[in-house]
Amino acid sequence: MSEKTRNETKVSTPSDLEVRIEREFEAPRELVWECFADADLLSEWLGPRSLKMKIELYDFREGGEWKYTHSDDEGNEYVFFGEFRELREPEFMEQTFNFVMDPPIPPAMDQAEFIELEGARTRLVTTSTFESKDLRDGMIQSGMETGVSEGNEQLDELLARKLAGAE
Amino acid sequence: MVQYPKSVDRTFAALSDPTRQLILNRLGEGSATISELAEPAGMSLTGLKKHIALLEEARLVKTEKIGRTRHCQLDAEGFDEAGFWLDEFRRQWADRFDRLDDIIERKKQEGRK
Repeated sequence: MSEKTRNETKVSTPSDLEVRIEREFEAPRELVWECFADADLLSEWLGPRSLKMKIELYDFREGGEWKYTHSDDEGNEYVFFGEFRELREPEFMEQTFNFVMDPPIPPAMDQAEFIELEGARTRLVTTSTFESKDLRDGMIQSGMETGVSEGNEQLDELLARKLAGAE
Repeated sequence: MVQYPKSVDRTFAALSDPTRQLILNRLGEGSATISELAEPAGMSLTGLKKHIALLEEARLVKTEKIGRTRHCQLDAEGFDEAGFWLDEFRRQWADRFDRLDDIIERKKQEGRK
């Protein structure tokens, strides 16, 4: 699988409050949508490689709630939850996104657009909007805390410690 | 699109070397003098000073001379460059979407059966 050429994942910050991710898939959008809508499929790809992902609640309908945890071998747990606000299969979904922190932080709003391309392909555009730039930057940096980056674990540890120290 | 500041290139250059990673790891545990750093790295003081100078330039390390000894510690600024974090974030999502590709491929195969 590693020899396969992958489509590029693009990340941008359209404003101080947003972060956008764009990626194309070699499949019709119904299929890409299914990978978001089906909790079993979602758990196969959404969790960081180094962490165990467990979906505790996934009520995939408008007004329905979701909750999942990422946990590491040392028993550290990261809890995420939210509510599906709008679901228009197979083109648009909007949900609130919360990360359990003490003290609690305001939720972000996540939107995902599934755009049909020629040749039964799909462009996915996700946009997360935060209440402040600090919250957005915090979310971008939190990837390091959960040790997601592969191939340079020592450095990850260092950065995680730095983040912990900065709190 | 985000414009990566030039300093981010310096940051990556500074991070790309195993000895410098070792130094950063050690400093992650707390500040240290040049000779304290040189010993576990198995390096001469001169060689180590060069690495430290590079890390300082990339704003990953700060040094301060106290008496006759130079003390080194991590410098938050170099790590806080938006581009550095954003690139880590991108890698995380690229990794996820690569796995999503694999699921899509599997589902396509299942559909053909």
